[in-house]
Amino acid sequence: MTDQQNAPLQALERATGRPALVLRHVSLAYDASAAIPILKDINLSVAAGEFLSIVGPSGCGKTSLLRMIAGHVAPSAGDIEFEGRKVIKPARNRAIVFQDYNRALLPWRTVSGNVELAFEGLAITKADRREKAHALLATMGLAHAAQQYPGALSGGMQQRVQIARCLAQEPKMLLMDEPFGALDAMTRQGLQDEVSRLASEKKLTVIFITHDLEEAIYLGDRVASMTARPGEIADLVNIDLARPRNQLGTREDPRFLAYRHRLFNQLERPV
Amino acid sequence: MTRYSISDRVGALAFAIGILAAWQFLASFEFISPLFFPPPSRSLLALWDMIVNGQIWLPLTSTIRRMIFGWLAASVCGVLLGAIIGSSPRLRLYLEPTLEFLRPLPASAIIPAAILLLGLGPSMAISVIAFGSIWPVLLASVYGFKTRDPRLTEVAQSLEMSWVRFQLEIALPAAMPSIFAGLRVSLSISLILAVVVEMQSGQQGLGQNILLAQRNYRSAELYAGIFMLGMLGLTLNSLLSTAERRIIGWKRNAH
Amino acid sequence: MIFVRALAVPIAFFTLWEISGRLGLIPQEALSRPSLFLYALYYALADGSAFTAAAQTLLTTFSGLAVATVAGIFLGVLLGSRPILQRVVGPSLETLRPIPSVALIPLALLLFGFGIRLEIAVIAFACVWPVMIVTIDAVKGIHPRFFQVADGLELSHAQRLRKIILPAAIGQIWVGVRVATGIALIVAVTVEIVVNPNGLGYAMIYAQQMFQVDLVYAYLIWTCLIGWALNWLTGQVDRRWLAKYQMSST
Repeated sequence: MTDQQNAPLQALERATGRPALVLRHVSLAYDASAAIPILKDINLSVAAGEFLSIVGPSGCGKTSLLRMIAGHVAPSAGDIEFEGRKVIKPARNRAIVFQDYNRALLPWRTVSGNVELAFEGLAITKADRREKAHALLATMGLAHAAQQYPGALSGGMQQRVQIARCLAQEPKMLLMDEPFGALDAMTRQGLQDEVSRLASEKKLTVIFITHDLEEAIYLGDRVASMTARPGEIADLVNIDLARPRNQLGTREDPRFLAYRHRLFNQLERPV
Repeated sequence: MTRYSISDRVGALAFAIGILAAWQFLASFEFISPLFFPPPSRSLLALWDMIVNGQIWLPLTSTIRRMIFGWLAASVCGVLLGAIIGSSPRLRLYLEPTLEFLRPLPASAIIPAAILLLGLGPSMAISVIAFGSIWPVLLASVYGFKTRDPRLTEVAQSLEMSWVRFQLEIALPAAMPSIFAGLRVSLSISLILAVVVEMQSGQQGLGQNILLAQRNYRSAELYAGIFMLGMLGLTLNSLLSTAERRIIGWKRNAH
Repeated sequence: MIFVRALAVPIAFFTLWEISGRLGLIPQEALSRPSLFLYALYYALADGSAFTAAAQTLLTTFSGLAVATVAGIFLGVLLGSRPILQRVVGPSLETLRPIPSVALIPLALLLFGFGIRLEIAVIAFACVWPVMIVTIDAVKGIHPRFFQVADGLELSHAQRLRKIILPAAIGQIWVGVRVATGIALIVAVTVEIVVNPNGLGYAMIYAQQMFQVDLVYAYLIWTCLIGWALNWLTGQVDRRWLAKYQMSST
């Protein structure tokens, strides 16, 4: 564990001194006899409101890591704490945005219906649910599609609906699993900025998985790079770039390129 | 689905009329036996008579009532059982081989045993219809509930949905397309079994009607009865399709 | 291991039935019990009557299927390759489709009297639809390139049918035939129960009328086995013979 991983993050305001998410000696293996575990001895400390990007090659376990933080998978060793409490199962305050948006949206409900799903089961009347859903969709520029079915929308819009549904959970943390992987470059860039804006507006802690190095640097306050077999965090880099970021300026910043170089070499290192 | 233009419709209609006209001609002039193939006019007249003097209603409603009761019982039980079995890998392990083995069983084969058990009355009729109709719905429901996308389960867990809400808002809607496919098949089976039961047990109904018509060599009534049964099947199928469109309309929009 | 799980439920069911029967908990004239009807089945197999009945039913089943397959493929190729015909003739055929096959029993009885022809006719009517429908679909789905090849080789209609259309469509047609086989058996047994003194269905209804409970259930099990065997058989054909006709997705 390098000093960097424990160093305070100067770029962020921290309300309290306690990190939002802590992973201690977390490992994951298919079974006890597996020669090489999926994830080995992961230690991580994420501050409240931080945007952490995780990059790594396929098979490095980043998706498994995310699913453990979400609570869908239990670690074979070590523990995960969110806001001081141990993570044992999924919860509303840790919303997870899946890459396959078409499978995560209910095809038999309209866009509004999908967002309302997050408000159901709470003590809110139907009319209120609809109103809140509509308000949320409006902030994301999706109000016009409220009565359409997900199947009729483009990929980018479907992903935004999923994000809207996750935001409707009023989470403290947003977990995103290569959310823009299936989208074209232009849509991706638009969504990157939108997520960045939403995260800072709602003061969300975000853990963002991607295999796109530049996307990771562009979005993150820190970037963790992972190696595969076993999955380990090889490097953890503070991204000291001004916010709000923009697609042209930030990407041409010499520091951006420096980070890119460093992490690129890290990723290219033979396993 | 082929799109039919106006000229298509005209052509199809002309063809149908042509066939009927040829039949009418051949039967009227006895090129074909009017006993076995009565001219359509006679059959239509017989049908009209039955409607006008009210003779059609009791048999028609008897058949409908019988089959709908049986079908509804089968559908409700089929969906419930299918939900339970489909959602439980354990149950499926034990039950699926048996279900698969019973799948090709002719539903009407149960009739002799049912007669021994329940006699020749309405309870036998509805039991046979229900028993025969439950299989397609059951099998389709099991399929619908077991092949649910696991991603949806994860979404539900993330939202901390209660079990009840999960079943109603996710499990059931996800299984609906399969369930409807099963319902369509079981509806046809209900009709078939209703007719068979009537023929076998002499109970009131359209099936009994046509059997009696045959025994008395009243072929016009026979054809009229067959026509009615065809219409009944068609109408019920349309109603089901309409319901299906209302409930699973979203499927059409999928990319 | 899998076998044990698969048989657990049926064995438990039959055991319960047997015990209830012996304890007098269920009416024996109506429900019999496994030891009795399995013995009756053994007897019926031993003296050949079960086999005779099965043979009779299968004869009509396959005959009806054969007629339906030929007619279904004929109509299917005709309507599938000429869209005009499908648009003009199709609707008339469609009005016949919703007629439940059992409704034709009295008509067939009128035309043919009691006997095998009646049964074959009803089976054929019931089974022609699945075959015809999949054939139409299969023929329509044949890539136009194949027809262009046929034109280039100046093939006659018969040759076109034999060398291009049928091989290309056979995989799909077979699926329809499989479905039709299931229907055929069901219709055969149904006709036998209702009118025809022939085969498995008649054996069952006759036993019922003679109040021979054990025999009714014996034949029920036997019919089930025949149905399952037929299903399995057609599945085997799928795997062995038709693999070579599967085209890779174009």
